[in-house]
Amino acid sequence: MESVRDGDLKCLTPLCRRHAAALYNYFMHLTGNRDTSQDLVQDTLLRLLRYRAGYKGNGPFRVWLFRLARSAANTHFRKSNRELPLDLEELDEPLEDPSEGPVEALHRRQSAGRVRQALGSLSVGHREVLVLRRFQELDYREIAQVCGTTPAAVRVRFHRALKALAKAYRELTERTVT
Amino acid sequence: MNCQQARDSLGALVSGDIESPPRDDLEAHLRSCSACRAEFEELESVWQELGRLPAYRVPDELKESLESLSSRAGAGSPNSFPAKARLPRRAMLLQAVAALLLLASGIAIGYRLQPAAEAEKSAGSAAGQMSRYLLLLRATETSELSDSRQEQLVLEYASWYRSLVARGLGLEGERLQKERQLIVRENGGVSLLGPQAFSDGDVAVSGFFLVQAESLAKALEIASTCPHLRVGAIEVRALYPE
Repeated sequence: MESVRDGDLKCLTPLCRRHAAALYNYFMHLTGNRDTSQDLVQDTLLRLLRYRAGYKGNGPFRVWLFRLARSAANTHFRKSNRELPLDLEELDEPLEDPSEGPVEALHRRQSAGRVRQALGSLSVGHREVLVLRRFQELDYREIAQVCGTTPAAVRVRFHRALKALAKAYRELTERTVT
Repeated sequence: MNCQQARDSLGALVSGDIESPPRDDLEAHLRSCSACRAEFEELESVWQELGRLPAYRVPDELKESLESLSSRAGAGSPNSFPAKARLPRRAMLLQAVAALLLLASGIAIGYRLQPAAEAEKSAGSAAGQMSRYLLLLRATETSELSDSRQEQLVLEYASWYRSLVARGLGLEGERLQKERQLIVRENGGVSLLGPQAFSDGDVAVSGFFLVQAESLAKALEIASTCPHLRVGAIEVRALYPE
């Protein structure tokens, strides 16, 4: 990233390759929409180019990148005036087990569907803290840097988000069973 | 520790973000309080369910757009913005043009200030940081595993691969079907690869992962964490640079 910042844009290609999947997954978990996520990955890349001089190189690059990504997502939610998208598209399952029985496959799909639906029912603030911790494996301190807050505030938000997710998941499970 | 204090810390316990002294107190409380323990188990369960969600595969269309955008940005031509890039909104298009104009000026300034040799060195160091490696999963015991064990393994593979993707290291991952494993040889012979082949060196490949790493040593490090090692071996092969 230092090379890109200093004007050497040949290094942009490996940088894109390395982080495209992480960014795309982050946006998919936030928006649930494939086209929007693709737009937001590109938007983040453009922000990276525009603000590259602001990268100081004294912290993890991923934290800086996800600050840009979060900013792109916030702009999207503000413009679309849609805080709770539930545009849950078909999952890509790269590791689907061909030997899996139909009952097991159905059970696993239903369970995954409920988790995604439960995640989609949360506020964006709750969803993003869960996604950054679970899928991007950022710790509370790093999430605080991404969100511009304190680790203590992240800890509280994470706890509330997880409780809200558990409640939504429980209600969806009960609805399915009854 | 009372129940209120314990419940406020359950999220941090579930995500592993709690220091040792309070964790010991909390765990002691959970052993003695069934209500708090039930809440912890529910949070832990949904956290694990969340972790089992498969990673989304990056669409080829996006890969192409990013490759095109970054390579053209590297060439520094503001007129060569990829036509296929997904920029449906007028605002985004304007942003792109503005960014590329900035890029063009940045390149000019950058090259003027930076001696050519140094520019080459910095390009090499960053661009050469990541190479691609194919991890071939050699099955040696899979046929003897029970269905439930295989299902468990697939979940572990998915979780492991997702963590690679999250770290920007995982590129692809697929499982190969067990049936119809054929080997074609130069003399036109086709042989079926089955369990009997394991003894004569033709060990079946049950799947693969494509990863990127800074070096072969790093790729080996990645492979050494793969759950497949419990049931087989992994062949690590470097790909030629693109």
